[in-house]
Amino acid sequence: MSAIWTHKQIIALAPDTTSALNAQALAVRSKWLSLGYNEQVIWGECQGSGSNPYRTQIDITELAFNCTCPSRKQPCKHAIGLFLLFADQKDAFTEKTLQQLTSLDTPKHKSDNKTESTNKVVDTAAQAKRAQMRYNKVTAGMQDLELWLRDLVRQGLAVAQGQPYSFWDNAAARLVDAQAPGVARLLREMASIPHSGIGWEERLLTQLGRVYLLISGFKRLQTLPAEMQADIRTQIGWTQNQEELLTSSGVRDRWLILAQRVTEEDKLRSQIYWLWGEQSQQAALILNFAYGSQPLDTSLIPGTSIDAELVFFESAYPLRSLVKILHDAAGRVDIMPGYSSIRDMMQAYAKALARNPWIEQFPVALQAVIPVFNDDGSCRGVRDADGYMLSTSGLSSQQIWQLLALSGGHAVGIFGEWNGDRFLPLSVYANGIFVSL
Amino acid sequence: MKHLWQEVVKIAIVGTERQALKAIPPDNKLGEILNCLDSSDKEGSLLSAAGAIALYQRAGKISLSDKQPLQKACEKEELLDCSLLSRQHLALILSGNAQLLPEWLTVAAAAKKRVPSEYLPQLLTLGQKQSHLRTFILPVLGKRGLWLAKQNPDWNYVSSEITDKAWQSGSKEVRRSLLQRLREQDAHIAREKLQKTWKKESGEERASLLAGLEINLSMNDEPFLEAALDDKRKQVRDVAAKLLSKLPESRLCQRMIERVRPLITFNHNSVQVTLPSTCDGSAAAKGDRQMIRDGIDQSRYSSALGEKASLLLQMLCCVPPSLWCNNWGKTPKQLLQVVNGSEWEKMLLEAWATAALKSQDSLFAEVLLPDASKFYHTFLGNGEELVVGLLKVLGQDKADALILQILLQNQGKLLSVNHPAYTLLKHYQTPWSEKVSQLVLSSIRQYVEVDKQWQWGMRSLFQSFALYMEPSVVEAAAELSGVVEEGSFWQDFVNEFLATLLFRFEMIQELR
Repeated sequence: MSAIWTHKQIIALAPDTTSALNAQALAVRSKWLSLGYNEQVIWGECQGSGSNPYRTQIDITELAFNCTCPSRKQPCKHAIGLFLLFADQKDAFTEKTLQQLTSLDTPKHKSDNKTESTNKVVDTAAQAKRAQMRYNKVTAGMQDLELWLRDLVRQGLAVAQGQPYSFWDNAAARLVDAQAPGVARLLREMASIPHSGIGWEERLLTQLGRVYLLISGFKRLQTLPAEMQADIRTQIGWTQNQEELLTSSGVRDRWLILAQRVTEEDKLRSQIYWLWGEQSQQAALILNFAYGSQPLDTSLIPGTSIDAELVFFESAYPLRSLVKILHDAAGRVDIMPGYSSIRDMMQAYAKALARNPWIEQFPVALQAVIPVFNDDGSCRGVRDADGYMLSTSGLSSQQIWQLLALSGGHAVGIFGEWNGDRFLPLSVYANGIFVSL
Repeated sequence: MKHLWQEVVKIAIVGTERQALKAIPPDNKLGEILNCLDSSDKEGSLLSAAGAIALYQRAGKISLSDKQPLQKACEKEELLDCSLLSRQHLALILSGNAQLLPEWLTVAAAAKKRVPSEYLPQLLTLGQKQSHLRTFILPVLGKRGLWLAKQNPDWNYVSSEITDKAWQSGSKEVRRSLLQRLREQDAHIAREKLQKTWKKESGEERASLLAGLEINLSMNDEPFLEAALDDKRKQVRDVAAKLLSKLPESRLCQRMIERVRPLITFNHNSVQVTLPSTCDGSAAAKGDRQMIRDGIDQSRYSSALGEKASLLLQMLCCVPPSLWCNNWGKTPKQLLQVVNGSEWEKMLLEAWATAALKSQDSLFAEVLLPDASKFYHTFLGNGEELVVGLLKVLGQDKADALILQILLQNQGKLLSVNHPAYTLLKHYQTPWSEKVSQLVLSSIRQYVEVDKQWQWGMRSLFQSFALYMEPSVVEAAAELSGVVEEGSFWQDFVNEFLATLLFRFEMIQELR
């Protein structure tokens, strides 16, 4: 066990208040039939309301929780209770070797994306064949798209405005069939633009130009540098093999966890973590998905930092990454890293776009900006000492008040996402305190 | 540059089959790229140009320069910041344990700490919606909270400024809270402000605003209230009568005294009751009309008591109980002994309890409360209000001492509905002393140890005790988990009870 966990850190893991309160009640020796631990895992058997005791297990290094209780909460009250008890009374736990523990299930490892590799005989020839087939399909799909696109501008955007939703949706569906889901998404996003009011023509044309750039890039993919190829492939919808990625070497740093954001579409929830390397001054994005009631990863806590090695997905401007090795849960965020002025940030953004024009959300940490407000209580933007301003959008009224409360009219550190037009603040660092919005 | 983009957009709108792109590329890196485009490919060159220019613009975007003057920043705090753990406690409370909020705020205020900035919006909104929380919230807002509240009109209850605009055009609730705040600062000015607009107010507004005078009520308000007894609206008259009945020196109280004096007499060491005649508003009797004017309401009637006795009860409620002590030369205690077991005991106790609360008579509160179970189920249906109110009249220390005394006198007796301290404990909703907490805890233990079944009411009552017990008994309370049987009726209770106590213990420790 590398980090000493305090009560408050453990309580902070609870998904809700009831769990936190219940867990405290479970953190007593008498609730547990047996207790054990080794360097990596703590475990215990808790007598619950069922006939069999619940078996609860925590992987401390990965912060993965596993319990046989029927609760859907992750982590459940038993796991937090067990953790609290361990923090209080380590003596109550018997030290055991890993072998003695194998009767228990291995905990759900949640920090990786479940690319199970067990017993898979790698058939390289078949794999290469499948890859070639997909490439051919995508190529055909992109050719089809190019014709559709040319047709569109030949007739003009005014004509396109009169098209029904299915016009865009069908084109997108064809791309899904062609195994190019990334481009399909870009097309679906276009569908609403013709009816989005003033300036729609410019917005639509921008998006069309972007897709055409992708088509042109794909046509001469082999002539481009490897990193640029990777960006184009990612944008089209190829995924990179995470297992393979984890074998390459990464960047070890103290990574500050600056934001977490979850979006839900249909039944798929996507979770974004933004990290910032203290030494490398590099931002990193960790992306997780969960379907339906599947729990999302909770091991990274905004406002804390980890000493970890991150491997980055191949890109001309690498952002997306995986945690390869978690060395230590290092502590709290005690600084807002990033740019000292909005000008610096804009320059960095331009450089990033020059390398990867597909970046949609650019991570921005600003060390000292003042949130400025209109009289009607809306947020106008964040302003730096030179008077430059980024316009904000996407904040709820509750978040706006919180931002105002945290700043009090003074400069604060803010982390957020810049989409080329608007800034979405996600967390604030003020008076030594980190707060997620 | 901008011109070029607009040209591209224009052609895109009409379509390349009608017009081709013939713009002159600028003399820069972008121009170099645009020059490479194959102009014979009308669609391809347009789309490529659009992609390149849009990206060029996005990368080269110059951020806005904001020239507007900045808002005045908040001053430096005088109160202390609370610890990270205290922040987490507050977060837990705000996310679903609201019953613990007043205690967190009270302890923080005593320790001269302020609410962390990030929770201010949520707390200010809570105070806006639940006015009883305001007295707890105001002392811990700090400079930042006051600064923030100024920016949002919804939170204007925080500021001490009362603007004429809000007074003239605010909603009924806003105006009432404005008046209440002004009453706290200067009762006299507040009343004068109300009197100035009084004649122009609607009936509903008059009733609502008049009720605001309850704060810092004094004999100075009496003439105004007495006049309000003649208001056109019954609602207003009722409020006025209610307030006047809280002023023992008021003309209304004096009239009540004159009415009941002949009806209640003391003879041969017992209290004799003569029932009044009925009060008929339609009758010509002047006395009856006067009585109705003073708020006596024939429709407030208890069938258990009967029509005439219900009238008497209402009148007695407006007579300060000390009057009887003075008239008959008895102490409150003796008075209670005299009526003990008599026909009219229940009615008289209820009347005295109500009147003691109105006149804030702590001597009476002290002797009445041990007998609370005798009048708790009142004829007029306000038992809870009476017990809570009298405990408050008595004050924290005396109330605690009284309950402790009753508990000590009845040690060994099971804490049930029939226990003499039951009614008081149920409504004793301020922090308990350690001794009271310990005694009650051992009573709870009795239930858990013998695993008494089906005690739903007691179990949920005990659960609420965890909110008021002195949290230092948590160690002794932890023994409960040793005596509770696995899977028993009491197991969940013990878990939850301990969790609440432990939480409060840590919360208070951390704030102090």
